[in-house]
Amino acid sequence: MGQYDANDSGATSDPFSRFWVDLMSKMSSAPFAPSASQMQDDAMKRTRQAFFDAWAQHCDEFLRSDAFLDVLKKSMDSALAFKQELNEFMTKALHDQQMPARSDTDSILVVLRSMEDRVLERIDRLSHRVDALESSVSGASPDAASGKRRPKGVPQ
Amino acid sequence: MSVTFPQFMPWMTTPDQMQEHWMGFSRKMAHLPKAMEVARRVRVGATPSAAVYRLDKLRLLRYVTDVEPQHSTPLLVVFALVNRPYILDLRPGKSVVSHFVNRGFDTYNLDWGVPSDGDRFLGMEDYVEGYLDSVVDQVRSRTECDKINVLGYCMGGSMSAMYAALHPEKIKNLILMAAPVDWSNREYLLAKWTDASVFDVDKLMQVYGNAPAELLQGSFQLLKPVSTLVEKYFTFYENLEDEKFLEDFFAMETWLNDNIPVAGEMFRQFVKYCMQQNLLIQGKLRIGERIVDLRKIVCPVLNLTATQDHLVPPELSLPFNDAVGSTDRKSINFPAGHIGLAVGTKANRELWPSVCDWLAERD
Repeated sequence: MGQYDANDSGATSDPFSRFWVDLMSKMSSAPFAPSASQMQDDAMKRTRQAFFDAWAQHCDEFLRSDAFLDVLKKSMDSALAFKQELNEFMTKALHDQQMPARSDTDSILVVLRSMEDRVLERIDRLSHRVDALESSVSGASPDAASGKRRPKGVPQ
Repeated sequence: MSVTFPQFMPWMTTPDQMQEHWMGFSRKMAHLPKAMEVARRVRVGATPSAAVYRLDKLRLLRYVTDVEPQHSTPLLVVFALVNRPYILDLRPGKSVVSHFVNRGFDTYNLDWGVPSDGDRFLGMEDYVEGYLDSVVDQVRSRTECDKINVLGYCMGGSMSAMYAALHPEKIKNLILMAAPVDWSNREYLLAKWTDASVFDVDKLMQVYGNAPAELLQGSFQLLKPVSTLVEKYFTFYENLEDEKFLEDFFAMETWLNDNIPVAGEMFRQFVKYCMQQNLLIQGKLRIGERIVDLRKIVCPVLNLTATQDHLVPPELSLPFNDAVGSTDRKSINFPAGHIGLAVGTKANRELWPSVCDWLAERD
């Protein structure tokens, strides 16, 4: 069966009608494709496969459509707005009970990470100074390799 | 010449066929407890492994084998952050890892671990310049090799490419497997959904912290809804009496449903800078203080893509070969899907032995 041609002026413009016409034409032709001897055994499977193929093709078309992208954006915006309100409510409720909320642990994490960055930068600078001192003593060129961004883990 | 009833209307079911279908249905239903037993005893992971290094939540797994080492350069497998890495070693006969292990490669696999809320600030620099660099150094020091082989799958391939560009001196051969690097094709479905006009990744991360596993899983399923939500279960029903099929099916389902969140900042940066702004292939992606310049990759490159890949279509991966500075570069566009590239019977029979040959020739 040929694919639906969106530019075909004779084709119907209603998406469901397009889907239905395409689906029915594919399904009705599917059992006749191979030899007659195989027809009875495979007819159902081929008809079903044709149905799935047509369905998948039209799903793909729909998932790419502006209408779906618009719905996707609006539903995500609504879900995020709801979740944000919920977060704010939970934060307020926890704070009212003098308990820490996620925003508090986030603040601590941010402080820890910036502290880690500062410590690592300081270690890097010290490491370079030690390299320079060692090279001046031994006469070799200092190792230009920079220090690690994160500390080493534990070999097992 | 007479025309019989079923020949005239082949879509109509004859009484004989109805009886046959009913018998088939009864046989399958009788097999249901067996299927449930298979589901209970299904195990994932074909090759024995041991954790040889840990850093925060990540584990470096080394595959244990009796096969004599035949190659001097070890292989590090880098998986994506969105799922578990055991898809590359799912079951006997469906294991990418076992090909390398059986050919005498000292093989390691990087398990990133499961990020918690506290890991939401981990970004690309932490993963590429921090974790991945530490793991590469660990493999280098364990094996006393200056350079190692890296195989990156999917998002892990993109991260491996970034790493290879930043540290070319540590990579001997680079294999990318369905790894996206060029998102200039905006007709690709995931690109449409993640377009900046539709998907506000900053807001999502601000509200959720990490990228929720359910969101990622749902999005991937929705890319091919008929296949993943309907057709699959028809195939399952038809093969309900086939124990081998059931074992593979449940192993795959275990992996598909074993989703993990992605660290928020990493997800935000990957979506924003790679998927939306396409900075990687343009040589404008910045990690820490350094620009990722793919031309600095001069090692041999093998780029594996799958023709039926709906998650990472070949056009997202193939431009990589033109962007690198290597002269020894090859791409294989294999007839499979995104996951089929790893677990497909044909891929395991034809593709991976040839990939092992490619790597062995460059040891």
